[in-house]
Amino acid sequence: MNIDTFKLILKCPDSQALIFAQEDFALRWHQRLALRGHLAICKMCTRTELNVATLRNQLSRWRAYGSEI
Amino acid sequence: MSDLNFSAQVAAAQPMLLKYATLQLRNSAQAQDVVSEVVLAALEKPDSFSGKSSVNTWLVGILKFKIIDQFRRSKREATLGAASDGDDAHFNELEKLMFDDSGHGSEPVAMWASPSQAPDASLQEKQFFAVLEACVQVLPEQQGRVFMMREWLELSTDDICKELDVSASNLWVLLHRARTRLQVCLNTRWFANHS
Repeated sequence: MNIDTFKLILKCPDSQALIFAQEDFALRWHQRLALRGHLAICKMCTRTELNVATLRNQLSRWRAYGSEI
Repeated sequence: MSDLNFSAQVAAAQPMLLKYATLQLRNSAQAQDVVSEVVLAALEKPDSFSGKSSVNTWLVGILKFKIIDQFRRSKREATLGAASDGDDAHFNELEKLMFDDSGHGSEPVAMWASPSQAPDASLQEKQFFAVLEACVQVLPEQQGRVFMMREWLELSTDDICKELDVSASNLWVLLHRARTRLQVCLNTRWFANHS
């Protein structure tokens, strides 16, 4: 999976690549569609997406933490 | 704030500044140079500290600008050639451990509990951040550098591509690998025991 890959049926490695990529890049329409389709049927990737959100929140707190101490 | 108190706070902030500079630059000599520049700039112009934020927050702001200057000065060294970072084989091995032959996860994914919502959140977060920094420290050099540019310097992906002369496609690969490694590291070193 890379920035230009066109796949509508994803396996978990592709799905996780897109979950991470959306932290940094705007996904293309077909990538968003494929990811939503995969997440609808995959518990593991859904958890990964929630974990990425948890980490995003912690990274935000970490940025502030260093200068607070 | 008295000059003496201000100078003492600047001096006390040096280890913290050096830690972040080293995490970002991956070069202790460059990190020390940059921190020295920050300290000198702060001590030469204490009046530019308005007092609206803490001294540490103000120093971290200066540090971020100095690090970006450092990237520009040593652009040739900082330029990333290939996205692979020479670790194609290592990363493929890691993915084989994470996913089985059919492309499904080889182990169930545990739900991560946020350290900031733990009953002893302050202590938990302090410990978590130490683990997070250790995990960033062990990322391959190029991946660690772009991850820090994105998450700590808060640069946009366009700006990172410009600063490092890399394509968006290369940056995609580097950040994907950095985030995957970070996930595995945090799972092992923290969340396996705190979820």
